[in-house]
Amino acid sequence: MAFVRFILSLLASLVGIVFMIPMAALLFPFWYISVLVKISEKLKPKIVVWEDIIQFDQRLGWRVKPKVDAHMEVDNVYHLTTGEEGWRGNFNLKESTVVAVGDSFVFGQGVDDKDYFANLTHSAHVKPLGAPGYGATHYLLLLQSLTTELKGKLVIWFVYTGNDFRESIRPSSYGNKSPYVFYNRKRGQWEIQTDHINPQRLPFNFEKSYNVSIPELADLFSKNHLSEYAYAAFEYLAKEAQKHCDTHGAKFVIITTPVRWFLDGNYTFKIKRHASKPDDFSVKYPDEQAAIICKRNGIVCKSCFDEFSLDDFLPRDLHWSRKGNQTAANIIDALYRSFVRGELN
Amino acid sequence: MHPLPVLNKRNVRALWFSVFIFLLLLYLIAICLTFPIPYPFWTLVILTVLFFGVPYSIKKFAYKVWPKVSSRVSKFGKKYTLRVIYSIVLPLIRLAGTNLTVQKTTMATLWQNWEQKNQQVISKQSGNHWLVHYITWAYRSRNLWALFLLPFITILRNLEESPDDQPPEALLLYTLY
Repeated sequence: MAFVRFILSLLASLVGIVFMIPMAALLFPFWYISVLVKISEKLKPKIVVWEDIIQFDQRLGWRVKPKVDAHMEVDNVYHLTTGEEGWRGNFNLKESTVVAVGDSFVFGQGVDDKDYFANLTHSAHVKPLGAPGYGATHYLLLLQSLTTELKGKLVIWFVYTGNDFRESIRPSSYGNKSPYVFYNRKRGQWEIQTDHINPQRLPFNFEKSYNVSIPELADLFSKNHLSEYAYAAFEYLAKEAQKHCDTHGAKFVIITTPVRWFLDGNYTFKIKRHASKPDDFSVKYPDEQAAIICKRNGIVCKSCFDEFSLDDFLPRDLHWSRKGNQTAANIIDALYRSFVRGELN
Repeated sequence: MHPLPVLNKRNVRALWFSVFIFLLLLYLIAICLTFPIPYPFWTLVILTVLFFGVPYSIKKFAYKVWPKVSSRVSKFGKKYTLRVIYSIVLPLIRLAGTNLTVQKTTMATLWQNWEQKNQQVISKQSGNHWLVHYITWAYRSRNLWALFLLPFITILRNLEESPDDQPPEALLLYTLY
């Protein structure tokens, strides 16, 4: 019986295969592409996620691990390395002439080391200090962790108008506890709070929620209670940074960088409609506020809204492309040359 | 079927080029089968120029449409293959009868404790090297006839949709950082 079953199975299989020939012909092109995609994915390097390359920090909430050599994916796969202190860039702090402080833009999210702004400058030796999710409060704390190392250097805060003002007053960022600045009514002064920081991540993530993030973002582009509070907090942070730089012989400069969405005229209304006062919405409002704050406190400020174009951003992400990093490098070089000539006032 | 990676220029061009290579191979096979060449060689040159001269917007559209067509063809292919198995292959094999003897047991229940670790009743399989496991099973259990089902099982396996079909761009709705 087993032999009969074997022969019958052979026969059935052959008949079945004959019936499958037209279907195989139809499926083959799709199968061929599927196999090619699989092969190409196997050839890709191992991709790590953000959580793999950060570690807990009691003051900052998180920071990038030292000596990272990894591939990440945003718009495309990119290769990044960090130095002894967990920052990217070819120069260490001692060798640097410019210290750039910022968030994911300064971290170089989305670009390889070779395309990273800190490695593209001609005259300035840049030490970038930045990590995704950082806000202006982080910038001040980072700056305050440096003292004698700052002497004679140009310190640039890259303030991303998309979220840096907001993140400076928020106690968490993407689920991680972060330092924030708040107004202490009892003492009548601004203070930085870090007591709540611990390695425990929050079970929710405000930033991922479009309904929370976008109205908050939109409200920073017009005069209202939230924006007034956020810009007042920023003024406190900027003043402290200026004071710290003056104390340690560094020159402090603030640069404001635009949100890609607002360089695309067709996209602006999508954000504007979420503002509490859409008629007051202005894409340059954060730049103008930063300029007013800087003027009031004698800080050098530069709005880069018109320096960047859509090409400076990755096609499917909000961060800078290689071209955007080159633009940032050119801005730094120009500022550094002015600084060396003593024209930065 | 494996899903296409994120839509970007490089991937769109890669798909377009892969389709071109596929069509080129078909053309070469057709030439081999119908020698002398039915069309002069310059037609291939013209078709190649036309193929690569297609505007990017059309290539992008094709890239977007490809997964949808692929998914529908896969589903249809799966149904068709199962129909062939159930209507042609298995009824033919059934003619040989069964070697499965079902006897009433004297035990109160057929449930067995996990601790017994009866490998013949319970086996944990990771899903890796399934082909080796299948062939080994067919040989050891003297069910060599089951090897003839392999072409159909292989086709069905390749038509399974990937569990992580969700495109990565769905996660990038708001990544300001």
